[in-house]
Amino acid sequence: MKYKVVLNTLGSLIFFLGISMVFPLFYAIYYQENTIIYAFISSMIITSLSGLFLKYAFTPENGIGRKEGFAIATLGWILAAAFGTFPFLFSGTFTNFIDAYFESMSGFTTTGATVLESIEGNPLSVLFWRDQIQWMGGMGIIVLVVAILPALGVGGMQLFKSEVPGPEPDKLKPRIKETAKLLYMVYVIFSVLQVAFLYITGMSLYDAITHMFGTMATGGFTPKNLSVGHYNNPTYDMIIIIFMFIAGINFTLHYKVLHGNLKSLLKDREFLFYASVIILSTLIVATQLRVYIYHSILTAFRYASFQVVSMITTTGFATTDFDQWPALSKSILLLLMFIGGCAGSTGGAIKNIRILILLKKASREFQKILHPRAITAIHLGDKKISDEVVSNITSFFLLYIIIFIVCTFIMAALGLDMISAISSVAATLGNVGPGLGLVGPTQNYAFIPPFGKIILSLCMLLGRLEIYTVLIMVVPEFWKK
Amino acid sequence: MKVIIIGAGKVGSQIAQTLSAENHDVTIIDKREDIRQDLDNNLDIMTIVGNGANVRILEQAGIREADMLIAVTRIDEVNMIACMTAKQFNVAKKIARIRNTEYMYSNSLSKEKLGIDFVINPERATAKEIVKLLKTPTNVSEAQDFAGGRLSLFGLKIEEGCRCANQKIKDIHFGLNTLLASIYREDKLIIPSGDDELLIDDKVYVLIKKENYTDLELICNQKSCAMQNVLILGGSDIGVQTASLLNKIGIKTKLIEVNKQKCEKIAELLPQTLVINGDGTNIDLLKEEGIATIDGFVAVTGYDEENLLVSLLAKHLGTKKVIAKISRTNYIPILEKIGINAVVNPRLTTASAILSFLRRGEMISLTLLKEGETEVAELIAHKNSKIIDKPLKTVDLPRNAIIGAIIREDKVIIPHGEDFIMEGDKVIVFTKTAEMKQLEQLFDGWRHK
Repeated sequence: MKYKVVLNTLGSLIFFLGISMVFPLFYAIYYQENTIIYAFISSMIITSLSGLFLKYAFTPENGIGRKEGFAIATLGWILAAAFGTFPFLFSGTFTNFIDAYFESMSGFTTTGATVLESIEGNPLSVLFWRDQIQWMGGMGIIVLVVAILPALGVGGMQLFKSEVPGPEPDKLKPRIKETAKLLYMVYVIFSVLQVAFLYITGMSLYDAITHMFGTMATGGFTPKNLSVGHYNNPTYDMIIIIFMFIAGINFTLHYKVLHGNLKSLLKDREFLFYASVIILSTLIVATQLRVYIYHSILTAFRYASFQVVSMITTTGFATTDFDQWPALSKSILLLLMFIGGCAGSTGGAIKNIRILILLKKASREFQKILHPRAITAIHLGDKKISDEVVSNITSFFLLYIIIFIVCTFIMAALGLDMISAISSVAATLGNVGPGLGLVGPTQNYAFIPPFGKIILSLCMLLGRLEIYTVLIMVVPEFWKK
Repeated sequence: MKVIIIGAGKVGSQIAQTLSAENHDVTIIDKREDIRQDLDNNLDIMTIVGNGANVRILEQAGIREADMLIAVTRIDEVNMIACMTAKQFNVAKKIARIRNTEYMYSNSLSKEKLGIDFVINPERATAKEIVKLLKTPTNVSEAQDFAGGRLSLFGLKIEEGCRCANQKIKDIHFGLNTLLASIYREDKLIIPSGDDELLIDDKVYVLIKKENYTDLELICNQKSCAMQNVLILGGSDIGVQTASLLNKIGIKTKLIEVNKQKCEKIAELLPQTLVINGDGTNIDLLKEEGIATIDGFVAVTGYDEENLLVSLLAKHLGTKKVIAKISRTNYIPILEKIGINAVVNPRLTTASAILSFLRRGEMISLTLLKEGETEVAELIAHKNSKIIDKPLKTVDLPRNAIIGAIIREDKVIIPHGEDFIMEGDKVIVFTKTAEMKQLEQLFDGWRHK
């Protein structure tokens, strides 16, 4: 492990984070939240100076290798969440570091699980920061560093791989820096579009921007207690559904479509799988809602589609208290929490491509039983999936389930009932946010004991960086020279 | 510049590495999935699995916007078809590796028709290099011509008995036309100053004007080998071409090859060479063929290990100069330490040749030293360059760069701190590969701004 290059790159990351506090600072000045202005100024100074210190105290001697890439990603996220707590703490929104850290980690990892008992009533600029960090974490703080920092060379690829979700990140351009820039460009284009749509249809600019942060990053924080349900406005629901759906698709695919290659979307097996899961789940949930709760089929469809898309993209917005829904609908929502978005999207959880490949592998086993001598390969569209990737996905799935089970036991031991324990872990590991029961959409995570909050924060990190990047850090051999 | 490389073999990946380090956009196409993953992890380039002669794959690699296509797969025909395809897409520069000499000399398939701008034959290039090395003193392990042969760069090892060993550089009286360009000590590059000492086992690079070649003998403290006879082990393409080149300049050659049919073919091709059918690793055979009395020994079989061991044996038995062909570059650093005089590597030779073609115009020729870590290049000083018209000692050069020589019209100047570079001068520079871009910008002045 080459510590110098790790600390140096972390320095740049923290410096950018400090600079990004200028946006909520602007809102603090605009809304004349005078005490908060100082909270932001001091957070900004401490953060950027710490970043600069790391950057200039350690001059790298070598480039970033595989190990350094993992270390920068994991430590980068842990540190970013830590520095992100300063505005919460200095403004007095949180008095307890663990609560502030949970909230900050929840924001960066685009989970959207909150420990705030009441969201409204807090300073608007602090809420803006809480939403903004989701947007930065959505496409990725490390990818941002790769896009901004001068040529990292091969190191850039290592960093990129350790953060971008999915089994095998695609390159859009030969240079990883260019690829990172293009992905951010697509991200910004959709973000601007969504703000424009929400603003034109009547939302205030502040609300439009903060909701966009929550949607495009598939985060789920909003400045409202009732989440998107606050507005009870079908138009907003519609716009947010569409953009959540977009955010859950591979951004490489978006780039190709924006470049006029519409066919690539319809040829992409993962996208087709993702879309079919959404359509099927919506149909089932809507039918059940029509039978048990709503009298109009349209209303049933509106609530069902919003919740299904919100869960599968791991956004975690709510337009209604789905904890009151019938059991089948709730079970479907819980299952969707595990599936998540597509590879290379801002969504979390296991990802459609992995589920799809696992299903194909399972069905291949049947074929093997029937034809023991058959030599088969797993294909996605016309692309062959290498055995290495398949075995990586199998182990990923296993690890995901093991972590889920162990953490559920811990939460249950801390006194949560079964549904709450299961859903709290599923919702944080999958970066969803609200779960069911005590952590349902109208509830929050404030009642969970401090140790439980630490465990859940760790789940969020594991989920966002897709387990291996984080877990490799606890292997002693990783730290040897 | 957007470059597509077809074939991620040794040559392809070496070129990809060099070009990518200079901030060019490199896309590499190869059929083998495992090689692709290796490259993906080690280089900042795009990799595509597929057949490089397939138009769809080429389109996917962005051939429409590409400025250059380098086809270096193992198969000549694939390389030729790739270049022909690239011609259809109006790619500016097309380079192909073509091994089979039958293709190169036929008129019906001229380079123009195939759309190939530059053909490289690694075996021929390597054979030429071997011949060049055979003509220099024994401790010279690298030789390269610049400025159309008016200037040569020699890489040599300081050995016991060298006149300049253990002396400070300022105390060694080099001729005015000789420059000690750089020193490699324990694999570290040192840009020498007057107070540095030359130690035994240092590898030094010297630039010498053609008319002063005798200086080299002074530095080495020995005469260049007047090669009378050379023994070549291995009837590979390189072996055959080396023999034929040596025959042309009147040096007697013997060639040992284990395969009888091959021997018969070679005997047909090379009437002046004595072809011996036998196992070259057999010490008795070598002794019988007079290995103790020959001047030069060249080991060019297909196996690195065999080349290495037999070369050591030949050295041990008293051959004056021993040259071995080694395919795996990671062996090279240790080889010169254990007594082999010079090592040739077809991969580096080919990569050097291709890179020098790429830079033709801006840069006239280029060599990779030390397994590609350092480059030597000829740059042209442009009109607005920051480097011209001021004493060299005030010029702000990158940290690991040194100016080796200035070529002004017909004159070659080995520069000192007080010398100037003038507009239009060709300048020979030494630098670490990563700093090449910086240097190029310095010389170009306006082009990259």
